[in-house]
Amino acid sequence: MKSFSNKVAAITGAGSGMGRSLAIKLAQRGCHVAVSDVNEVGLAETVRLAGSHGVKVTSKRVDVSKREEVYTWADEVVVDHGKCNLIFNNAGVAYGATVEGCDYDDAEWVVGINFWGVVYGTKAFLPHLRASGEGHVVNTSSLFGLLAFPGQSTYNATKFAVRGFTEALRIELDMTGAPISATSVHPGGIKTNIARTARMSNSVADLGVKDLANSHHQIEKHFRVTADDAAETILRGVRRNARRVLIGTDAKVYDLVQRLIPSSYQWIVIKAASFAMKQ
Amino acid sequence: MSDSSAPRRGLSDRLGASVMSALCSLPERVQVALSGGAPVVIDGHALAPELQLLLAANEKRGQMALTTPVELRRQQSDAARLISGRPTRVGAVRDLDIDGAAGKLRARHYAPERGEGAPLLVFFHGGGFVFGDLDTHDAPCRVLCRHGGMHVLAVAYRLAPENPFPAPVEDALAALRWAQTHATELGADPGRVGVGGDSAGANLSAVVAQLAVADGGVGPACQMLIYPAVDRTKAYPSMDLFAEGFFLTRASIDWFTHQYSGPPGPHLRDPRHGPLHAASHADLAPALVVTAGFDPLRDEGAAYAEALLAAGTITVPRCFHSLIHGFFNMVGVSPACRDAVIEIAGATRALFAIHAAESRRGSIASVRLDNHGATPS
Repeated sequence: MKSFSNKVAAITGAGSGMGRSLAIKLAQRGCHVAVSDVNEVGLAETVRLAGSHGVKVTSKRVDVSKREEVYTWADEVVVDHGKCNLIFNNAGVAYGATVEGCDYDDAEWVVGINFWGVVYGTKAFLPHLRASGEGHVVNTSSLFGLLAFPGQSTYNATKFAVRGFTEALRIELDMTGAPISATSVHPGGIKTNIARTARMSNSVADLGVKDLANSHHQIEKHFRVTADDAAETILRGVRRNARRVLIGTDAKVYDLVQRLIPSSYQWIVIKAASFAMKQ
Repeated sequence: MSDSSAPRRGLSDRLGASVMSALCSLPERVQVALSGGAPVVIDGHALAPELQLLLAANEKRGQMALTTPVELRRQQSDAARLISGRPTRVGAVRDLDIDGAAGKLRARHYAPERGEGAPLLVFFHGGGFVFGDLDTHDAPCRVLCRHGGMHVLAVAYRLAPENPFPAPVEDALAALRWAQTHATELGADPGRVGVGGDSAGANLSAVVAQLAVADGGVGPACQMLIYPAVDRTKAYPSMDLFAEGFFLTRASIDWFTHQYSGPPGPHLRDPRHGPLHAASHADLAPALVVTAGFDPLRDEGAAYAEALLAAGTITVPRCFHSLIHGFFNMVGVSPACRDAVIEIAGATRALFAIHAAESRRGSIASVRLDNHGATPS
């Protein structure tokens, strides 16, 4: 998509972080936005910030893990804005637990939002993107969609799934000459709320996480890219129709490592993980 | 939940259907080998291997025999039972009578689960205006209902040659008017009643979308046109490319046209016969125009989409390059065909939302927006 001006973008998880930054940066470029989140307070702030740029902004509380809510929202976006060109399936949550120690309720919560939320968002919006004549699906995977990390099995599974889903979609769209494209986004550590809203199981103590209550501070220390910079990188990727967008040095380094040593990279992760958690 | 209206299938039908399904799920290489060697590539696109095999099997069973309309109807009903597969679950199915142009017409109403206030698609089946009924198109109507989250009202309009042109057109328009008046009774949103169909049914849908607004009346909310027949006056390249061997043949098209409206004449340019010949294609309902890659009607379908687009009517063209004419009916045996119909269901649902957006802007008579319909499941 060469220009965002006068397009319409729908963004999930827009109450904070990358979703909010995407909304603001798109609004600055003349793109009308429809934002959703479960956090209505954060969402209102996003509406205020994006709304100051003279574009139409609509918002709705949407739980992306509820198929019905996503489909209803997709139709409403089109009724309100007349069309929809872009869907950013950005909403995501994290959950730290070992495989043996993980609680099914928490695991299903993560899968519902991170995986099914992306599938619902993609399928509900695709017909609208096609009808708009120029569409783009932007799905947020993760650095953890490229390589595995201890204590992140479920999160890893959903993010690998989002990558596979999005790459398959992109190939289908290319093969059928659809007026739609798709990009898989892989942020490394970004300063957003995800670590704060993450659920953390005590089982990760086994892996050397000592101070559970403050673990998000430990994690955030390593998050060097701001949400604004990440949003900027994503939009650049959409403009040049990238298949994959890597964000942050950590994502780029790990991506390279994973390509060079596709399975034995795990030894490097073990070293890096114990180093990071003991600091 | 009432599925009593599902067509009954005997043991031999079920066996035959299992064989068809099994053929479709063979590895692609095996399918190509069984159907006589090389993949079929025409005009830069490859035929889906499972369809290549089904076509080869059909060749062995004998082509569509253009004997008498009565014999053809029997033959096609048998064929439909072979390819319809296990019925897709929907909220409820009920047969009813509705008002046609000259008496009652049989119709079948498919309601989605939690479908109160969902949009309604009035569906006209294909079959060259000569064959086809509620049972031959039961399987795809269920898929539309379930995966589009919309009500579907399939209508058995009068068939040619007993009831030639323009009787089917008049019935189709009467059916739309009936549905617009009775949508609430069906549990659907009276402000969102669309039309759609395949082949001859798509012709009727396109014609009705024009006629419904021609006299200042309320038009349909959308038009779902699956490989529509829209022009019998011009020799399109696809008519030569796919004249034979891909289910619908040039010979059968000519035969159907003759049954429908007799020998060629000026009526072929009547927009009620060939909707491409309308003086204007502006201000019509948002359209989905589906074409199949291996279909003699491919190019006229594309021409109709272009005419709508050029006139400023919201139009979504979609070509399923690897499929044949008739894929809409093959949801029960062919995964590729089923995927296409599920996509069509989603695209049609999107058209209803686009219609609502247009009405809000004031370009179409206002509609209610309080319910956006059931969710596809």
